Amino acid sequence: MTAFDTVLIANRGEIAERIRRACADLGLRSVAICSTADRDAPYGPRSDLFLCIGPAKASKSYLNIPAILLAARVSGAGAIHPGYGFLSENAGFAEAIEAEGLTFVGPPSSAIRTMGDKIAAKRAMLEAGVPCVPGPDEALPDDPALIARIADEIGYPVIVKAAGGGGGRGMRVVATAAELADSVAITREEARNAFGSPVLYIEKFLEHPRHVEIQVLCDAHGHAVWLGHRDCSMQRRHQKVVEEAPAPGIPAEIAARVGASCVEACQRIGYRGVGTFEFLYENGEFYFIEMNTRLQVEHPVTEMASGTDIVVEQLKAAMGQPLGFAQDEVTCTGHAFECRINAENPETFAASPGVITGLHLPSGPGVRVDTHIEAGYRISPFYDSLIAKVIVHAPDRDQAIERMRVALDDMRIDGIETNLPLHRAIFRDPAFCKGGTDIHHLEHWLRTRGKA
Amino acid sequence: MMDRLTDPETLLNLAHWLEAASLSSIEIEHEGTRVVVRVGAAAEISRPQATAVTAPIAGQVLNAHPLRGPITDVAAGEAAAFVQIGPILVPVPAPQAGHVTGRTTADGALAGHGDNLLSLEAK
Repeated sequence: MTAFDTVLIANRGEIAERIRRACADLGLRSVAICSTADRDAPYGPRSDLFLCIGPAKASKSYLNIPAILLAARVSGAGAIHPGYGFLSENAGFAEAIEAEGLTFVGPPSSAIRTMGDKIAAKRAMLEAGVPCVPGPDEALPDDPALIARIADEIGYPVIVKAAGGGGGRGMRVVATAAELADSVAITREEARNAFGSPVLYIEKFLEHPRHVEIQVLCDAHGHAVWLGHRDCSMQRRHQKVVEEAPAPGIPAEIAARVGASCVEACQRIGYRGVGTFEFLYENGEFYFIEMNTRLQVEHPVTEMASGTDIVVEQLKAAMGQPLGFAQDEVTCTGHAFECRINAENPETFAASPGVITGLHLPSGPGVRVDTHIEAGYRISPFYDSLIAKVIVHAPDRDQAIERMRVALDDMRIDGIETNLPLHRAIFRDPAFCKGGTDIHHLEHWLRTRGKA
Repeated sequence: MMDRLTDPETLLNLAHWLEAASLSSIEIEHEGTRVVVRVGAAAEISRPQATAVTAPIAGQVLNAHPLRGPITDVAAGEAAAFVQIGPILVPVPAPQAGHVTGRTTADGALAGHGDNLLSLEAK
Protein backbone atom coordinates (compact mmCIF):
# COMPACT_ATOMS: atom_id res chain seq x y z
CA MET A 1 0.00 0.00 0.00
CA THR A 2 1.43 3.35 -1.07
CA ALA A 3 0.68 6.75 0.45
CA PHE A 4 -1.29 9.07 -1.81
CA ASP A 5 -2.45 12.67 -1.79
CA THR A 6 -4.49 12.69 -5.03
CA VAL A 7 -7.52 10.59 -5.82
CA LEU A 8 -8.91 10.06 -9.31
CA ILE A 9 -12.69 9.59 -9.23
CA ALA A 10 -13.55 7.02 -11.91
CA ASN A 11 -17.25 7.79 -11.95
CA ARG A 12 -19.80 10.52 -12.64
CA GLY A 13 -22.94 12.15 -11.30
CA GLU A 14 -23.91 12.38 -7.64
CA ILE A 15 -21.35 9.83 -6.47
CA ALA A 16 -18.49 11.75 -8.15
CA GLU A 17 -19.58 14.81 -6.17
CA ARG A 18 -19.92 12.73 -2.97
CA ILE A 19 -16.39 11.33 -3.31
CA ARG A 20 -14.96 14.75 -4.19
CA ARG A 21 -16.39 16.13 -0.95
CA ALA A 22 -14.92 13.28 1.10
CA CYS A 23 -11.51 13.91 -0.50
CA ALA A 24 -11.77 17.60 0.39
CA ASP A 25 -12.66 16.68 4.00
CA LEU A 26 -9.45 14.66 4.22
CA GLY A 27 -7.32 17.30 2.48
CA LEU A 28 -6.82 15.06 -0.55
CA ARG A 29 -6.67 16.47 -4.10
CA SER A 30 -9.44 15.20 -6.34
CA VAL A 31 -9.24 14.49 -10.05
CA ALA A 32 -12.64 14.24 -11.68
CA ILE A 33 -12.87 12.58 -15.06
CA CYS A 34 -15.66 12.86 -17.59
CA SER A 35 -16.85 11.83 -21.00
CA THR A 36 -17.66 14.42 -23.65
CA ALA A 37 -21.32 14.20 -22.53
CA ASP A 38 -20.40 15.34 -19.01
CA ARG A 39 -18.09 18.26 -19.85
CA ASP A 40 -20.48 20.66 -18.11
CA ALA A 41 -20.79 18.60 -14.91
CA PRO A 42 -20.99 21.05 -11.99
CA TYR A 43 -18.51 19.05 -9.90
CA GLY A 44 -15.83 19.54 -12.58
CA PRO A 45 -14.78 23.05 -11.60
CA ARG A 46 -15.04 22.15 -7.89
CA SER A 47 -12.48 19.37 -8.35
CA ASP A 48 -8.77 20.11 -8.27
CA LEU A 49 -8.50 18.79 -11.82
CA PHE A 50 -11.20 17.92 -14.36
CA LEU A 51 -10.19 15.84 -17.32
CA CYS A 52 -12.22 14.54 -20.25
CA ILE A 53 -11.06 11.02 -21.04
CA GLY A 54 -13.27 9.90 -23.93
CA PRO A 55 -16.53 9.98 -25.87
CA ALA A 56 -20.02 9.75 -24.36
CA LYS A 57 -20.34 5.99 -24.78
CA ALA A 58 -19.42 4.48 -21.39
CA SER A 59 -17.30 1.74 -22.99
CA LYS A 60 -15.08 4.49 -24.42
CA SER A 61 -14.85 6.54 -21.21
CA TYR A 62 -16.10 5.41 -17.77
CA LEU A 63 -15.51 1.74 -18.62
CA ASN A 64 -12.27 2.33 -20.52
CA ILE A 65 -9.57 0.96 -18.18
CA PRO A 66 -6.51 2.11 -20.21
CA ALA A 67 -7.93 5.64 -20.58
CA ILE A 68 -8.56 5.86 -16.82
CA LEU A 69 -5.10 4.53 -15.95
CA LEU A 70 -3.47 7.01 -18.36
CA ALA A 71 -5.55 9.84 -16.85
CA ALA A 72 -4.30 8.79 -13.40
CA ARG A 73 -0.75 8.92 -14.71
CA VAL A 74 -0.97 12.40 -16.27
CA SER A 75 -2.82 13.82 -13.27
CA GLY A 76 -0.43 12.40 -10.69
CA ALA A 77 -3.21 10.49 -8.90
CA GLY A 78 -1.99 7.89 -6.42
CA ALA A 79 -5.38 6.28 -5.90
CA ILE A 80 -8.50 5.56 -7.93
CA HIS A 81 -11.97 5.54 -6.38
CA PRO A 82 -14.40 3.56 -8.56
CA GLY A 83 -17.66 4.75 -6.93
CA TYR A 84 -20.51 2.32 -7.68
CA GLY A 85 -21.57 0.74 -10.97
CA PHE A 86 -19.16 1.05 -13.93
CA LEU A 87 -15.83 -0.62 -12.93
CA SER A 88 -16.44 -0.75 -9.17
CA GLU A 89 -16.70 -4.56 -8.97
CA ASN A 90 -14.35 -5.37 -11.83
CA ALA A 91 -11.50 -7.45 -10.38
CA GLY A 92 -9.46 -6.86 -13.56
CA PHE A 93 -9.66 -3.10 -13.01
CA ALA A 94 -8.52 -3.43 -9.39
CA GLU A 95 -5.66 -5.67 -10.55
CA ALA A 96 -4.60 -3.25 -13.30
CA ILE A 97 -4.53 -0.41 -10.72
CA GLU A 98 -2.47 -2.53 -8.32
CA ALA A 99 -0.10 -3.44 -11.21
CA GLU A 100 0.44 0.28 -11.93
CA GLY A 101 1.58 0.73 -8.32
CA LEU A 102 -1.55 2.77 -7.53
CA THR A 103 -4.12 2.21 -4.80
CA PHE A 104 -7.58 0.90 -5.63
CA VAL A 105 -10.02 2.43 -3.14
CA GLY A 106 -11.74 -0.86 -2.44
CA PRO A 107 -10.94 -4.41 -1.44
CA PRO A 108 -8.07 -6.48 -2.86
CA SER A 109 -8.91 -7.84 -6.33
CA SER A 110 -8.89 -11.38 -4.89
CA ALA A 111 -11.83 -10.52 -2.62
CA ILE A 112 -13.77 -9.02 -5.55
CA ARG A 113 -13.16 -12.20 -7.52
CA THR A 114 -14.29 -14.49 -4.69
CA MET A 115 -17.47 -12.51 -4.12
CA GLY A 116 -18.17 -12.19 -7.85
CA ASP A 117 -18.40 -16.00 -8.06
CA LYS A 118 -21.66 -16.63 -6.23
CA ILE A 119 -20.80 -20.26 -5.42
CA ALA A 120 -17.37 -19.36 -4.00
CA ALA A 121 -18.99 -16.50 -2.06
CA LYS A 122 -21.61 -18.79 -0.55
CA ARG A 123 -18.94 -21.30 0.45
CA ALA A 124 -16.90 -18.53 2.12
CA MET A 125 -19.99 -17.33 3.96
CA LEU A 126 -20.93 -20.79 5.21
CA GLU A 127 -17.36 -21.26 6.51
CA ALA A 128 -17.68 -18.00 8.49
CA GLY A 129 -21.04 -19.01 9.90
CA VAL A 130 -23.07 -16.53 7.83
CA PRO A 131 -26.58 -17.96 7.32
CA CYS A 132 -27.32 -18.85 3.69
CA VAL A 133 -30.36 -19.83 1.66
CA PRO A 134 -30.86 -23.65 1.80
CA GLY A 135 -29.13 -25.32 -1.16
CA PRO A 136 -25.71 -26.82 -1.92
CA ASP A 137 -22.67 -24.55 -2.10
CA GLU A 138 -21.56 -26.13 -5.34
CA ALA A 139 -22.31 -25.95 -9.05
CA LEU A 140 -25.27 -27.87 -10.44
CA PRO A 141 -24.25 -31.11 -12.17
CA ASP A 142 -25.25 -31.78 -15.79
CA ASP A 143 -27.23 -34.96 -15.08
CA PRO A 144 -30.98 -34.06 -14.99
CA ALA A 145 -31.73 -36.89 -12.56
CA LEU A 146 -29.14 -35.57 -10.09
CA ILE A 147 -30.50 -32.02 -10.46
CA ALA A 148 -34.03 -33.29 -9.78
CA ARG A 149 -32.86 -35.08 -6.64
CA ILE A 150 -31.14 -31.91 -5.33
CA ALA A 151 -34.29 -29.84 -5.98
CA ASP A 152 -36.45 -32.43 -4.23
CA GLU A 153 -34.18 -32.34 -1.18
CA ILE A 154 -34.41 -28.51 -1.01
CA GLY A 155 -38.18 -28.53 -1.59
CA TYR A 156 -40.10 -26.50 -4.20
CA PRO A 157 -40.24 -23.68 -5.14
CA VAL A 158 -36.52 -23.41 -5.94
CA ILE A 159 -34.53 -20.78 -7.79
CA VAL A 160 -31.86 -21.56 -10.41
CA LYS A 161 -29.13 -18.91 -10.55
CA ALA A 162 -26.04 -18.17 -12.66
CA ALA A 163 -22.84 -18.34 -10.60
CA GLY A 164 -21.56 -15.28 -12.47
CA GLY A 165 -24.82 -13.34 -12.20
CA GLY A 166 -26.08 -10.86 -9.65
CA GLY A 167 -28.26 -7.81 -9.28
CA GLY A 168 -31.36 -9.75 -10.24
CA ARG A 169 -30.00 -11.06 -13.57
CA GLY A 170 -29.51 -14.69 -14.60
CA MET A 171 -32.06 -16.41 -12.37
CA ARG A 172 -35.29 -18.37 -12.78
CA VAL A 173 -37.88 -19.54 -10.25
CA VAL A 174 -39.07 -23.14 -10.60
CA ALA A 175 -42.42 -23.95 -8.96
CA THR A 176 -42.71 -27.67 -9.71
CA ALA A 177 -40.54 -30.65 -10.64
CA ALA A 178 -42.11 -30.73 -14.13
CA GLU A 179 -40.58 -27.33 -15.04
CA LEU A 180 -37.13 -28.04 -13.65
CA ALA A 181 -35.26 -29.49 -16.64
CA ASP A 182 -36.41 -26.80 -19.08
CA SER A 183 -35.71 -23.99 -16.62
CA VAL A 184 -32.19 -25.26 -15.96
CA ALA A 185 -31.47 -25.54 -19.70
CA ILE A 186 -32.72 -22.01 -20.46
CA THR A 187 -30.92 -20.41 -17.51
CA ARG A 188 -27.71 -22.23 -18.43
CA GLU A 189 -27.88 -20.83 -21.97
CA GLU A 190 -28.65 -17.34 -20.70
CA ALA A 191 -25.77 -17.52 -18.23
CA ARG A 192 -23.39 -18.65 -20.97
CA ASN A 193 -24.42 -15.71 -23.15
CA ALA A 194 -24.71 -13.01 -20.48
CA PHE A 195 -21.88 -13.88 -18.08
CA GLY A 196 -19.58 -16.05 -20.20
CA SER A 197 -20.03 -19.02 -17.87
CA PRO A 198 -22.76 -21.67 -17.90
CA VAL A 199 -22.19 -22.54 -14.22
CA LEU A 200 -25.43 -22.60 -12.22
CA TYR A 201 -26.46 -23.25 -8.65
CA ILE A 202 -29.80 -23.87 -7.01
CA GLU A 203 -31.42 -22.61 -3.82
CA LYS A 204 -34.68 -22.58 -1.97
CA PHE A 205 -36.92 -19.81 -3.32
CA LEU A 206 -38.27 -17.63 -0.54
CA GLU A 207 -41.73 -16.34 -1.43
CA HIS A 208 -42.17 -13.21 0.68
CA PRO A 209 -38.75 -12.10 1.86
CA ARG A 210 -37.53 -8.63 2.68
CA HIS A 211 -34.18 -7.34 1.40
CA VAL A 212 -32.05 -6.52 4.41
CA GLU A 213 -28.35 -5.73 4.18
CA ILE A 214 -25.48 -5.23 6.56
CA GLN A 215 -22.81 -2.56 6.04
CA VAL A 216 -19.25 -3.47 6.97
CA LEU A 217 -16.10 -1.40 7.24
CA CYS A 218 -12.62 -2.96 7.39
CA ASP A 219 -9.10 -1.58 7.62
CA ALA A 220 -5.97 -3.20 6.20
CA HIS A 221 -4.88 -4.45 9.64
CA GLY A 222 -7.56 -7.04 10.28
CA HIS A 223 -9.99 -4.77 12.13
CA ALA A 224 -13.59 -4.79 10.96
CA VAL A 225 -16.93 -3.49 12.21
CA TRP A 226 -20.53 -3.65 11.03
CA LEU A 227 -22.48 -0.41 11.01
CA GLY A 228 -26.02 -1.67 11.40
CA HIS A 229 -28.55 -2.81 8.81
CA ARG A 230 -30.71 -1.32 6.05
CA ASP A 231 -33.97 -2.38 4.48
CA CYS A 232 -34.05 -2.07 0.69
CA SER A 233 -37.23 -4.05 0.01
CA MET A 234 -38.93 -1.28 -1.97
CA GLN A 235 -37.74 -2.37 -5.40
CA ARG A 236 -38.98 -2.25 -8.96
CA ARG A 237 -37.40 -4.71 -11.40
CA HIS A 238 -34.64 -5.41 -8.86
CA GLN A 239 -33.80 -1.69 -8.71
CA LYS A 240 -34.03 -0.19 -5.24
CA VAL A 241 -36.33 2.83 -4.99
CA VAL A 242 -36.49 3.64 -1.25
CA GLU A 243 -34.08 2.50 1.46
CA GLU A 244 -34.13 2.87 5.23
CA ALA A 245 -31.93 2.28 8.24
CA PRO A 246 -32.40 0.45 10.45
CA ALA A 247 -34.55 -2.27 8.86
CA PRO A 248 -37.73 -2.12 10.95
CA GLY A 249 -38.71 -4.90 13.35
CA ILE A 250 -35.48 -6.94 13.34
CA PRO A 251 -34.66 -8.29 16.81
CA ALA A 252 -31.35 -6.78 17.97
CA GLU A 253 -29.90 -10.13 19.08
CA ILE A 254 -30.50 -11.73 15.65
CA ALA A 255 -28.94 -8.71 13.86
CA ALA A 256 -25.97 -8.75 16.23
CA ARG A 257 -25.32 -12.43 15.55
CA VAL A 258 -25.48 -11.99 11.77
CA GLY A 259 -23.44 -8.75 11.90
CA ALA A 260 -20.70 -10.52 13.86
CA SER A 261 -20.59 -13.35 11.31
CA CYS A 262 -20.25 -10.79 8.48
CA VAL A 263 -17.28 -9.26 10.29
CA GLU A 264 -15.73 -12.70 10.65
CA ALA A 265 -16.24 -13.42 6.95
CA CYS A 266 -14.44 -10.16 6.09
CA GLN A 267 -11.51 -11.08 8.29
CA ARG A 268 -11.30 -14.57 6.75
CA ILE A 269 -11.15 -13.31 3.16
CA GLY A 270 -8.78 -10.41 3.92
CA TYR A 271 -11.38 -7.80 3.05
CA ARG A 272 -10.50 -4.08 3.06
CA GLY A 273 -12.68 -0.99 2.82
CA VAL A 274 -16.46 -0.88 2.74
CA GLY A 275 -18.76 -3.69 1.71
CA THR A 276 -22.33 -4.85 2.01
CA PHE A 277 -23.73 -8.29 2.80
CA GLU A 278 -27.13 -8.62 1.17
CA PHE A 279 -29.68 -10.93 2.77
CA LEU A 280 -33.20 -12.10 2.25
CA TYR A 281 -35.07 -11.90 5.55
CA GLU A 282 -38.14 -14.06 6.15
CA ASN A 283 -39.79 -15.37 9.32
CA GLY A 284 -37.07 -13.93 11.54
CA GLU A 285 -34.21 -15.58 9.61
CA PHE A 286 -31.43 -14.03 7.53
CA TYR A 287 -30.35 -15.76 4.28
CA PHE A 288 -27.16 -14.49 2.54
CA ILE A 289 -27.61 -13.74 -1.17
CA GLU A 290 -24.50 -11.81 -2.23
CA MET A 291 -21.83 -9.40 -1.14
CA ASN A 292 -21.33 -6.05 -2.85
CA THR A 293 -17.63 -5.25 -2.69
CA ARG A 294 -18.07 -1.51 -3.14
CA LEU A 295 -19.70 1.63 -1.84
CA GLN A 296 -23.46 1.46 -2.38
CA VAL A 297 -25.96 4.04 -3.58
CA GLU A 298 -27.85 3.73 -0.28
CA HIS A 299 -24.84 4.22 2.02
CA PRO A 300 -26.18 7.61 3.31
CA VAL A 301 -28.99 6.05 5.39
CA THR A 302 -26.36 4.13 7.37
CA GLU A 303 -24.25 7.30 7.63
CA MET A 304 -27.21 9.18 9.12
CA ALA A 305 -28.13 6.42 11.58
CA SER A 306 -24.57 5.57 12.67
CA GLY A 307 -23.03 9.05 12.45
CA THR A 308 -20.15 7.64 10.39
CA ASP A 309 -18.87 9.18 7.14
CA ILE A 310 -18.53 5.94 5.19
CA VAL A 311 -16.69 7.44 2.21
CA VAL A 312 -14.15 9.17 4.45
CA GLU A 313 -13.62 5.89 6.33
CA GLN A 314 -13.25 4.06 3.01
CA LEU A 315 -10.52 6.48 1.90
CA LYS A 316 -8.77 6.22 5.27
CA ALA A 317 -8.75 2.42 4.98
CA ALA A 318 -7.26 2.74 1.49
CA MET A 319 -4.55 5.00 2.95
CA GLY A 320 -3.67 2.22 5.37
CA GLN A 321 -4.97 3.98 8.47
CA PRO A 322 -6.25 1.70 11.22
CA LEU A 323 -9.96 1.89 12.10
CA GLY A 324 -10.46 4.66 14.63
CA PHE A 325 -13.21 2.90 16.59
CA ALA A 326 -14.26 -0.54 17.79
CA GLN A 327 -17.55 -2.41 17.41
CA ASP A 328 -18.77 -1.47 20.89
CA GLU A 329 -18.40 2.21 19.95
CA VAL A 330 -20.81 1.85 17.00
CA THR A 331 -24.22 3.16 17.96
CA CYS A 332 -27.14 3.58 15.59
CA THR A 333 -29.77 6.10 16.62
CA GLY A 334 -33.06 7.24 15.13
CA HIS A 335 -34.30 6.32 11.68
CA ALA A 336 -33.19 7.33 8.18
CA PHE A 337 -34.82 7.10 4.74
CA GLU A 338 -33.45 7.65 1.26
CA CYS A 339 -35.49 8.30 -1.89
CA ARG A 340 -33.73 7.79 -5.21
CA ILE A 341 -34.84 10.63 -7.48
CA ASN A 342 -34.68 9.51 -11.10
CA ALA A 343 -35.18 11.50 -14.29
CA GLU A 344 -38.02 9.34 -15.53
CA ASN A 345 -41.76 9.34 -16.10
CA PRO A 346 -43.39 8.38 -12.76
CA GLU A 347 -46.00 6.21 -14.52
CA THR A 348 -44.17 4.57 -17.42
CA PHE A 349 -40.62 4.83 -16.01
CA ALA A 350 -39.34 5.96 -19.42
CA ALA A 351 -36.13 7.99 -19.09
CA SER A 352 -36.60 11.75 -19.28
CA PRO A 353 -33.37 13.48 -20.30
CA GLY A 354 -33.32 17.23 -20.85
CA VAL A 355 -32.46 20.56 -19.27
CA ILE A 356 -33.40 21.35 -15.67
CA THR A 357 -34.99 24.76 -15.96
CA GLY A 358 -35.71 25.27 -12.26
CA LEU A 359 -34.65 23.52 -9.05
CA HIS A 360 -35.54 23.78 -5.40
CA LEU A 361 -33.91 21.33 -3.00
CA PRO A 362 -35.43 20.61 0.43
CA SER A 363 -33.49 21.59 3.54
CA GLY A 364 -33.86 21.80 7.29
CA PRO A 365 -32.80 19.72 10.30
CA GLY A 366 -32.21 16.07 9.42
CA VAL A 367 -32.57 16.65 5.67
CA ARG A 368 -29.75 15.92 3.24
CA VAL A 369 -29.67 15.89 -0.56
CA ASP A 370 -26.82 14.17 -2.40
CA THR A 371 -26.83 15.42 -5.96
CA HIS A 372 -24.75 16.88 -8.76
CA ILE A 373 -27.56 18.72 -10.52
CA GLU A 374 -28.32 22.43 -10.57
CA ALA A 375 -30.63 24.71 -12.57
CA GLY A 376 -29.50 24.78 -16.19
CA TYR A 377 -27.91 21.32 -15.99
CA ARG A 378 -28.61 19.02 -18.91
CA ILE A 379 -29.44 15.40 -17.98
CA SER A 380 -27.65 13.21 -20.47
CA PRO A 381 -29.47 10.29 -22.13
CA PHE A 382 -26.31 8.19 -22.02
CA TYR A 383 -26.27 7.11 -18.39
CA ASP A 384 -28.27 5.98 -15.39
CA SER A 385 -31.30 8.17 -14.61
CA LEU A 386 -30.41 8.72 -10.91
CA ILE A 387 -30.07 12.48 -10.42
CA ALA A 388 -30.44 12.98 -6.67
CA LYS A 389 -30.92 11.22 -3.35
CA VAL A 390 -33.13 12.78 -0.71
CA ILE A 391 -32.15 11.54 2.72
CA VAL A 392 -33.84 12.32 6.03
CA HIS A 393 -33.05 11.38 9.62
CA ALA A 394 -35.33 11.73 12.66
CA PRO A 395 -35.57 10.29 16.19
CA ASP A 396 -37.97 7.51 15.11
CA ARG A 397 -39.50 5.97 11.97
CA ASP A 398 -42.81 7.85 12.12
CA GLN A 399 -41.07 11.20 12.47
CA ALA A 400 -38.70 10.26 9.63
CA ILE A 401 -41.70 9.46 7.40
CA GLU A 402 -43.21 12.85 8.19
CA ARG A 403 -39.90 14.58 7.55
CA MET A 404 -39.57 12.84 4.18
CA ARG A 405 -43.15 13.82 3.19
CA VAL A 406 -42.33 17.48 3.83
CA ALA A 407 -39.00 17.23 2.01
CA LEU A 408 -40.61 15.59 -1.03
CA ASP A 409 -43.38 18.19 -1.09
CA ASP A 410 -40.80 21.00 -0.88
CA MET A 411 -38.64 19.60 -3.67
CA ARG A 412 -39.19 20.95 -7.17
CA ILE A 413 -37.42 19.94 -10.37
CA ASP A 414 -38.62 21.74 -13.52
CA GLY A 415 -37.98 21.00 -17.17
CA ILE A 416 -37.83 17.20 -16.95
CA GLU A 417 -40.03 14.44 -15.57
CA THR A 418 -38.98 12.79 -12.32
CA ASN A 419 -40.28 10.06 -10.03
CA LEU A 420 -41.00 12.60 -7.23
CA PRO A 421 -44.78 11.92 -7.53
CA LEU A 422 -44.11 8.18 -7.06
CA HIS A 423 -42.11 8.84 -3.87
CA ARG A 424 -44.82 11.16 -2.53
CA ALA A 425 -47.37 8.36 -3.06
CA ILE A 426 -45.12 5.70 -1.49
CA PHE A 427 -44.77 7.78 1.67
CA ARG A 428 -48.57 7.83 1.94
CA ASP A 429 -49.01 4.08 1.35
CA PRO A 430 -50.32 2.60 4.63
CA ALA A 431 -48.47 -0.73 4.22
CA PHE A 432 -45.13 0.95 3.59
CA CYS A 433 -45.70 3.39 6.43
CA LYS A 434 -46.45 0.47 8.75
CA GLY A 435 -43.04 -1.03 7.82
CA GLY A 436 -41.71 -4.45 6.96
CA THR A 437 -43.13 -4.79 3.41
CA ASP A 438 -41.56 -7.53 1.28
CA ILE A 439 -39.59 -7.21 -1.97
CA HIS A 440 -42.73 -7.71 -4.10
CA HIS A 441 -44.77 -5.02 -2.39
CA LEU A 442 -43.85 -2.08 -4.63
CA GLU A 443 -44.47 -3.92 -7.90
CA HIS A 444 -47.78 -5.28 -6.59
CA TRP A 445 -48.76 -1.77 -5.41
CA LEU A 446 -47.83 -0.30 -8.83
CA ARG A 447 -49.96 -2.92 -10.60
CA THR A 448 -53.02 -2.43 -8.42
CA ARG A 449 -53.02 1.29 -7.61
CA GLY A 450 -55.93 3.18 -9.09
CA LYS A 451 -57.82 -0.08 -9.57
CA ALA A 452 -59.73 0.09 -6.29
CA MET B 1 -9.82 3.10 -55.93
CA MET B 2 -11.53 5.61 -58.25
CA ASP B 3 -14.28 6.16 -55.65
CA ARG B 4 -11.66 7.28 -53.22
CA LEU B 5 -9.95 9.45 -55.78
CA THR B 6 -13.14 11.30 -56.60
CA ASP B 7 -13.84 11.99 -52.95
CA PRO B 8 -13.66 15.81 -52.58
CA GLU B 9 -11.35 15.63 -49.61
CA THR B 10 -8.87 13.41 -51.46
CA LEU B 11 -9.00 15.72 -54.48
CA LEU B 12 -8.31 18.73 -52.29
CA ASN B 13 -5.39 16.96 -50.65
CA LEU B 14 -4.02 15.98 -54.07
CA ALA B 15 -4.20 19.62 -55.09
CA HIS B 16 -2.33 20.69 -51.96
CA TRP B 17 0.38 18.10 -52.59
CA LEU B 18 0.73 19.35 -56.17
CA GLU B 19 1.10 22.90 -54.91
CA ALA B 20 3.64 21.87 -52.31
CA ALA B 21 5.64 19.97 -54.98
CA SER B 22 5.41 22.90 -57.47
CA LEU B 23 3.59 20.76 -60.03
CA SER B 24 0.71 22.03 -62.17
CA SER B 25 -1.38 18.91 -62.73
CA ILE B 26 -1.72 15.18 -62.23
CA GLU B 27 -3.65 12.59 -64.27
CA ILE B 28 -4.70 9.25 -62.80
CA GLU B 29 -6.28 6.59 -65.00
CA HIS B 30 -7.73 3.39 -63.58
CA GLU B 31 -10.13 0.87 -65.16
CA GLY B 32 -11.40 3.27 -67.77
CA THR B 33 -11.87 6.25 -65.50
CA ARG B 34 -9.55 9.20 -65.62
CA VAL B 35 -9.13 11.87 -62.97
CA VAL B 36 -7.30 15.07 -63.79
CA VAL B 37 -6.38 17.47 -61.02
CA ARG B 38 -5.04 20.88 -62.04
CA VAL B 39 -3.76 23.36 -59.51
CA GLY B 40 -5.59 26.26 -61.20
CA ALA B 41 -8.87 24.44 -60.71
CA ALA B 42 -8.07 23.69 -57.08
CA ALA B 43 -7.88 27.42 -56.45
CA GLU B 44 -11.55 27.71 -57.35
CA ILE B 45 -12.70 25.09 -54.88
CA SER B 46 -14.38 26.74 -51.95
CA ARG B 47 -12.10 26.03 -49.07
CA PRO B 48 -13.23 25.09 -45.61
CA GLN B 49 -12.82 27.64 -42.88
CA ALA B 50 -10.23 27.09 -40.21
CA THR B 51 -10.60 23.57 -38.81
CA ALA B 52 -10.24 22.91 -35.10
CA VAL B 53 -7.93 20.08 -34.13
CA THR B 54 -8.69 18.33 -30.85
CA ALA B 55 -6.78 16.09 -28.48
CA PRO B 56 -7.52 12.39 -29.09
CA ILE B 57 -6.63 11.50 -25.49
CA ALA B 58 -5.97 13.22 -22.18
CA GLY B 59 -2.35 14.19 -21.58
CA GLN B 60 0.30 16.92 -21.64
CA VAL B 61 0.41 18.91 -24.85
CA LEU B 62 3.56 19.27 -26.93
CA ASN B 63 3.14 21.88 -29.65
CA ALA B 64 6.46 21.11 -31.36
CA HIS B 65 7.89 17.89 -32.72
CA PRO B 66 10.29 16.54 -30.08
CA LEU B 67 13.08 16.14 -32.66
CA ARG B 68 12.14 18.32 -35.62
CA GLY B 69 11.00 21.39 -33.73
CA PRO B 70 8.08 23.79 -34.43
CA ILE B 71 5.17 22.63 -36.56
CA THR B 72 3.75 25.34 -38.84
CA ASP B 73 2.46 23.57 -41.96
CA VAL B 74 1.13 20.03 -42.10
CA ALA B 75 -0.13 17.57 -44.67
CA ALA B 76 -3.29 15.61 -43.94
CA GLY B 77 -2.52 12.91 -41.40
CA GLU B 78 0.73 14.49 -40.25
CA ALA B 79 1.17 15.28 -36.57
CA ALA B 80 0.06 18.84 -35.82
CA ALA B 81 0.87 18.41 -32.11
CA PHE B 82 1.56 15.62 -29.64
CA VAL B 83 0.02 14.51 -26.39
CA GLN B 84 2.43 13.05 -23.86
CA ILE B 85 1.45 10.59 -21.12
CA GLY B 86 4.58 9.66 -19.23
CA PRO B 87 6.83 7.93 -21.76
CA ILE B 88 4.04 7.67 -24.35
CA LEU B 89 3.86 10.23 -27.15
CA VAL B 90 0.56 10.27 -29.05
CA PRO B 91 0.55 12.23 -32.33
CA VAL B 92 -2.42 14.51 -32.98
CA PRO B 93 -3.05 14.01 -36.70
CA ALA B 94 -4.14 16.92 -38.89
CA PRO B 95 -7.53 16.10 -40.45
CA GLN B 96 -6.48 18.04 -43.57
CA ALA B 97 -3.44 19.78 -44.94
CA GLY B 98 -3.04 23.31 -43.72
CA HIS B 99 -1.31 26.06 -41.88
CA VAL B 100 -1.42 26.13 -38.09
CA THR B 101 -3.03 29.42 -37.10
CA GLY B 102 -3.80 29.29 -33.43
CA ARG B 103 -2.55 27.08 -30.65
CA THR B 104 -4.68 27.19 -27.53
CA THR B 105 -2.72 25.11 -25.05
CA ALA B 106 0.72 25.89 -23.64
CA ASP B 107 3.48 23.31 -23.88
CA GLY B 108 3.25 20.88 -20.98
CA ALA B 109 -0.30 21.91 -20.02
CA LEU B 110 -2.91 19.17 -19.57
CA ALA B 111 -5.61 18.70 -22.18
CA GLY B 112 -8.54 16.33 -22.08
CA HIS B 113 -10.05 14.17 -24.81
CA GLY B 114 -11.76 16.46 -27.34
CA ASP B 115 -10.15 19.71 -26.10
CA ASN B 116 -9.26 22.17 -28.89
CA LEU B 117 -5.51 22.32 -29.39
CA LEU B 118 -5.12 24.40 -32.54
CA SER B 119 -6.74 25.67 -35.74
CA LEU B 120 -5.72 24.68 -39.24
CA GLU B 121 -6.30 26.95 -42.19
CA ALA B 122 -6.30 25.35 -45.61
CA LYS B 123 -3.73 26.92 -47.87
